[in-house]
Amino acid sequence: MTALLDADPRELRTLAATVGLLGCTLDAPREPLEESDFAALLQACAEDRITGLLLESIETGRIPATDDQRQDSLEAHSAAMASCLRLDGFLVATHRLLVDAGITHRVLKGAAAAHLDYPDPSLRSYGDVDLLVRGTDIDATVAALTHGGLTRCQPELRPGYDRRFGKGTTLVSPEGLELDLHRTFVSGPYAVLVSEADLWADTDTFVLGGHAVQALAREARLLHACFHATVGTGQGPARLSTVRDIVQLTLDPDLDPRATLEMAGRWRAEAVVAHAVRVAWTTLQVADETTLSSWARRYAPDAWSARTLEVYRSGHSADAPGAWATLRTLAGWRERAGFLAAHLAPLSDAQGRSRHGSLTVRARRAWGGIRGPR
Amino acid sequence: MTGPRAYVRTPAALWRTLPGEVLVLGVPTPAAGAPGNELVRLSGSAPVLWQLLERPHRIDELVAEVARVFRVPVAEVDPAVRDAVARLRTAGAVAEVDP
Repeated sequence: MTALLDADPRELRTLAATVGLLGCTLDAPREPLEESDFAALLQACAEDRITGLLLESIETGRIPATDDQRQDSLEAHSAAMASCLRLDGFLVATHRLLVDAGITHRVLKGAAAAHLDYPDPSLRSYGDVDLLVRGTDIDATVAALTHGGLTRCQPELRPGYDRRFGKGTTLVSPEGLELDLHRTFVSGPYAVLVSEADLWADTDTFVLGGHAVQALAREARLLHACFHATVGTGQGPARLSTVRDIVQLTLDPDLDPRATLEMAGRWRAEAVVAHAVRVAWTTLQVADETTLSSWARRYAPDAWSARTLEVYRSGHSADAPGAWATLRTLAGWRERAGFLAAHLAPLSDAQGRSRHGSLTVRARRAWGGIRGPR
Repeated sequence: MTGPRAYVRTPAALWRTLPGEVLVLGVPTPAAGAPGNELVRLSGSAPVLWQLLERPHRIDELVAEVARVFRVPVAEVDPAVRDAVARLRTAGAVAEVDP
């Protein structure tokens, strides 16, 4: 058993994140925490979007709590769920706009995980809506959504950039609800390596507000969670909600581990998956072994994978090293020329000022990219 | 002459179940004339009511069943059940249908 009794009370959030995992070896405190320590734990769980798991831990006696602490947890989780319900309403409204515009889309991350991967959606909180559309549809999607009242947060780097090279863009509703529109999972080299054909090949469906909405198939959902945990957060650790998503999906008996690894191989993303699964198993002290967790423990990355992972982990995927790595990943001179032009050529005044500063600054960054990371 | 109407959740309703309470959000349904987007918090006996509303029930059936579950006189829960159903209808989360 791993004792957390003398740890920072905030670290007890890890224990909360393990509720329902039968094989978990983390030890629990025997008495309720002091009030101030419990407040710190509750705050940490809210930040990690696991108030549902904390409340479940208290309800099942895994984490002892006083009546007041239980009530505080219930109120915090109730607020989180009220926010998720508003996001679900926003998701339904967005789904209807896109259906009316004839644009196929997939729900990603929080909402899809909550409704598909947990026994009760109340166990998974989220803070925005994430949708995937095809690169060829991204301009029409932005047009449909802005016509429907949403506002794009940042202008496109250059016309056609979102469609060809970008991760996606963010829009907000008049109420301030956020929609992350994705063409792919991440920026940088993996933006061009993740296969669109794979993402759209299969789907899982859930019903929300009377509408059948589609998400990625569970194998692609797991790969997305691994990307988000490993290369989507820069230098910081992933939220425990994402870590739990990885465990939840990896332990799903309906997951096809062979298909998952084949897809990861086509994307040159085995290192991403191995790292994410290892971190998830270690963080939550999962005792159960699966085909994927055993594979992840044995996996050793090749030089390219290690170097690429380092670009992301060092937080440089959007800077010169990331641009350089992306450039080397692109196949064909046309794609490379287009990518270079998008990063070097002058933008309109509004685009340039709001996003990337002066032409001189952009040219210096791009030149740094061409020379490559030191 | 029409008899008492029944009440049932609308397909548009969104909800989350928490220990001892249910949060319900109606989604805007202009065709039904419901404003939607109103968050309704159901606690006390109301989570049982929300479960019952998965299928159409007349108001007297709802009151009787809630009273039976909580072992209290019908008169005691009648106003609360009617009030909760009215709030859910306003939110677009419950609709009136033929029994």
